[in-house]
Amino acid sequence: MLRTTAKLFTIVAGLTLSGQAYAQATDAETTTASVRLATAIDITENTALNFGSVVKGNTGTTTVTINASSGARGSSGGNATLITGATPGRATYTVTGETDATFAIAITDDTIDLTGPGSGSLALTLTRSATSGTLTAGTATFGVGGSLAIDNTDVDDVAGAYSGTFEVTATYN
Amino acid sequence: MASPTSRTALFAVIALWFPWQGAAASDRIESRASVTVVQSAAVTVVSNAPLQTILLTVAIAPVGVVFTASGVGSVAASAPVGGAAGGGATGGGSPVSPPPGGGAADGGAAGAPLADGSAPGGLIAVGGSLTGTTIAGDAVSVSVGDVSGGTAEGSARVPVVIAQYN
Repeated sequence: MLRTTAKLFTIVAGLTLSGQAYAQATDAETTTASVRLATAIDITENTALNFGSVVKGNTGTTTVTINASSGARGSSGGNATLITGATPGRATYTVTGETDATFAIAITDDTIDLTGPGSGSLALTLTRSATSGTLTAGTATFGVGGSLAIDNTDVDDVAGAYSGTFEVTATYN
Repeated sequence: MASPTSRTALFAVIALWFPWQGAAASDRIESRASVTVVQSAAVTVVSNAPLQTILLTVAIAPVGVVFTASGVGSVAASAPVGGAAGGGATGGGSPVSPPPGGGAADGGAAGAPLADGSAPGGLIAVGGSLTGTTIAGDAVSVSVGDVSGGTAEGSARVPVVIAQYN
């Protein structure tokens, strides 16, 4: 009687264990795939870079600077003089896009020549107020200034209006 | 052994940042930089009068460009001025353009262009000033004084004229 009971227990236990092994051989998981279309980045110029009016001197080279962050104008070297007239100021830009996204600021060619009525040109080195930014509430601003070299002894740099163009790029990081 | 109960797992959201992979991930703009270069100012005395009545009538102009500015009392037409000395007795080489010696009326000397905007040394600040004038839109101040050590009294004194950009 005892041996018969033991055999029966063994059979039941074996069936039970084999049933558990079968149930764990497969499982299912559901995964969600999603996408969010972010707002395209956009850059707009608010003001252009303007070094104002400068009275050309006759000795040395005068470097006129526009601070990229504050727009303040200054000069050093030579004997050219800064005067009022055309309002000097930095270039300013507004970047819009995805909220809290970060972006990089680049100037394609940060050294350009301003050309005017004569055969001469004025060398301009551009600077950025920052190399990157964050689109807080989807918007951010930055500025571009630079250093303009005026060779007071260069007879080719005659009086008049000088200008040149440069390209600024904002790219999502 | 884990529970035999069937599980449903929800994985984290896969965020594909589409704009990062296309043209809209970047934007560019072309800007302009500019500056205006102005020539130095020079002064020509075109008439003279006793200091206590009417100081001077002057014409100011960028070098090589005819320009007439209004001053106290009258407006005078003037020939372009340059760095060369005129017919005056003491002019030449100075930003200040004194009239001919002895207080002669017209045709004073043209000094060198006033490039640095500063008043020459040795002047005393007497007399008056002409303000509100412009050269090609740039504000210019013209002030009149006396020679160093002198006074504004009497026509025997030789007044001097200073023009500078503001």
